[in-house]
Amino acid sequence: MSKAIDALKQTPVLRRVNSSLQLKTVLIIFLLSLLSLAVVGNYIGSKIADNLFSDRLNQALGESKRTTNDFVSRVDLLKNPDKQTLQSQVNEIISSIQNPSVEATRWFSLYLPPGQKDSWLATTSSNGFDPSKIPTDLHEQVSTGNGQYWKVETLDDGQGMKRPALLVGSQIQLPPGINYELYFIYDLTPQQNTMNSIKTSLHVAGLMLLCLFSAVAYLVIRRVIRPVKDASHIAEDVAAGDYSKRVEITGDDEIAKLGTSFNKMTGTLADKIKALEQLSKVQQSFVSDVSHELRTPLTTINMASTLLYSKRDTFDAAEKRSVELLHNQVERFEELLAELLEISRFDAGAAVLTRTQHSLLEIVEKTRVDIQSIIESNKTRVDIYTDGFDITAEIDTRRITRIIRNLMVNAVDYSEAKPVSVFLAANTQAVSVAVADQGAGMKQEHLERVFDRFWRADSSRVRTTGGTGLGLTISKEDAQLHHGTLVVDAQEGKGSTFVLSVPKSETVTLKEEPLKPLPANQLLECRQWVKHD
Amino acid sequence: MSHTILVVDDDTALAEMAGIILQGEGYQVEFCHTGDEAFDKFNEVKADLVLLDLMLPGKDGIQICEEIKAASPATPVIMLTAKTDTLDVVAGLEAGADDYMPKPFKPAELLARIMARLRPVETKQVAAHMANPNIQEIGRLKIDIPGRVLYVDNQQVAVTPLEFDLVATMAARPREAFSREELLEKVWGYKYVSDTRLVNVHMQRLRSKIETDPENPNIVLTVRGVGYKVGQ
Repeated sequence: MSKAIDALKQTPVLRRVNSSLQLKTVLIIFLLSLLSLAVVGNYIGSKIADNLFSDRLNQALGESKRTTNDFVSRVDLLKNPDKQTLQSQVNEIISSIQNPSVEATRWFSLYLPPGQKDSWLATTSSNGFDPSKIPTDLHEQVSTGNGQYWKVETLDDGQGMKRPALLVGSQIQLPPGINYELYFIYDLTPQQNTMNSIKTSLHVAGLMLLCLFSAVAYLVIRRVIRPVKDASHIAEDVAAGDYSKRVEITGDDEIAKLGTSFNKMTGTLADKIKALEQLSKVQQSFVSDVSHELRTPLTTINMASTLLYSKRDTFDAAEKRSVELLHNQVERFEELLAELLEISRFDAGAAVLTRTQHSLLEIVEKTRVDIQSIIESNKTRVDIYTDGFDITAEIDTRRITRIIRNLMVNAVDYSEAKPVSVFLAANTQAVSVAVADQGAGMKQEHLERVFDRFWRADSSRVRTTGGTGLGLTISKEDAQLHHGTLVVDAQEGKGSTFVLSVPKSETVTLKEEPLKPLPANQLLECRQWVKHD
Repeated sequence: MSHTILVVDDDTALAEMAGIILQGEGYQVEFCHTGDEAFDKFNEVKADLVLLDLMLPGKDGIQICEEIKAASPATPVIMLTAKTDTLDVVAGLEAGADDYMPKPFKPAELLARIMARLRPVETKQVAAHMANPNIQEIGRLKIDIPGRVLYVDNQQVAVTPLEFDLVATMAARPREAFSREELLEKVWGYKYVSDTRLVNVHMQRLRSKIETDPENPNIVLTVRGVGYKVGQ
């Protein structure tokens, strides 16, 4: 049932109604008014109808009784008449009955029930009345009962019209001891007409009231809704980002209170946002100042360290070792500083993207050359595969190279002497670079944390190339800056696959990544690859 | 004869350290720690190359660069800067610097760049002469390789040595595109530098000197996705 209602609610008409408070309320008032007016109207109508009918009924019953008694007493006066006398007397009575009465038409029917012998009079009825129309159940009541019985029937008036009629009947006995049923038939058409005209008036009145109610409702609601509507529009503007808009406040009622609170809220929002923007600016200039301040002394340290390092063989053992450690740590410090500054740029929203059209295959191949020594020292190799299509995109070369280098160095580091595979593929919107190793892999719970700052898979592992723990964080931020994605999947003991996907240009949205993070062997099978040596 | 290098940086420790390294390589080193004195010092010591920090007290590094280049266009100026935002780098290069080194830099790299900039012009000339002994004409350009003079519509145009080398290199293979990395290698002598902003800025400077409408060049053209070329 509720599903049907929900489906109904989705139709355009109902949706329009549902979205306007005014329309909804007016509609509810309309429907309720309609309902109540209908009920009341019906009640009034039926009460009037009942009254009209019972008035006529009583009148008819009284008249019928009098006329019947009159009939009977006139026949009784005859005192044992013979057939002819009876017939002429009855005819006389009938003609007097037939005089049009004061009100509506009255017919009669002197009915001889079937099965009686030696009757002197046959069934006689006034013109236009067909005695066979007398309902059977009335016959039964009249013949078996002892008083007056009545029924309402719709009868043909002989001119092709159907009229409502009231039949009143009672049993009388006429010489020579035959039972007759005497019926009087009263036309109820006048009552019917009266009823109809009353009904029409009620309908018209009801309609007018309905329109009146709806109009009043509409006007009243409009007055009430207007401030709410205004507030709603202003809220839309604020939600869209214009924090300067305020609601107009008139009066002192609940609506006014709502408006005041709304304005206060918007004001607070605007202030907070301004404060945050300020903070962001402060952060950005801090980043830039720190950057400058740290770099100069670091350069001097670097130069000194390099000089000493180049002369280390002239020192004795302890000094030589100290110089080596110094040199390494200075390098590590430089790396860390650069990455920290990069991260704070992302945090402050100050990272800038400069796009050029570039081939990702070229970047991957160049990186493979650049890290050749790391590949060799890990006793592994890097295989590059493309699907034969154009793998270029509008990217920030520096950042993408950084990501790819990071992924490839990590893969080589964790390769455990097994080959590392890099797959490049594209679809209409985006390009993907998948770097898959077959080394130790990762636990499921580590997969979510691998992009966290300073997180390392296993602190007891020795990393041959050092590393700050920020590499993947920066890579992910770089990917997101391009509106792309960097995802990973891994199986413990089997290996890990990282997939970088970026849209082909600024105007394109990444809807589906060309490659998913599957293990190397599955990626190899998923399409035809061209190997690049 | 050893070259004289002027180090202009307000950080005395850095300047001194740089001096030690450069002297170790056989260069003569002079120092200057303020912007106001830089130009005078340059003239005084007759430096063969200037290492110039951009953020100086007193006169701005950009201004000093412009002054030095105006007085002596053939002297290489290498910017040292802690600011690596593109806008700052471009501003420095547009002021006339031949190269920039972001801090912190590896001493070895600094030395390599200094060497590349100080490589005798003659050897470059000989190499070019062998490839192209004549005066080369491509469209509106006339390039006098031996004389190292550039003409556009038969009018001589003053260009820096680097800008001349840029045109001459591309003119060696007219209508063929050169990648930015290739130009970095052939013109600047850098093999493993991947920051190609140097090329972009110098190209812009070149265009502003030889093109009628630098925004819509028709002598030195950009080849989308590849680099640049000369000639239709």
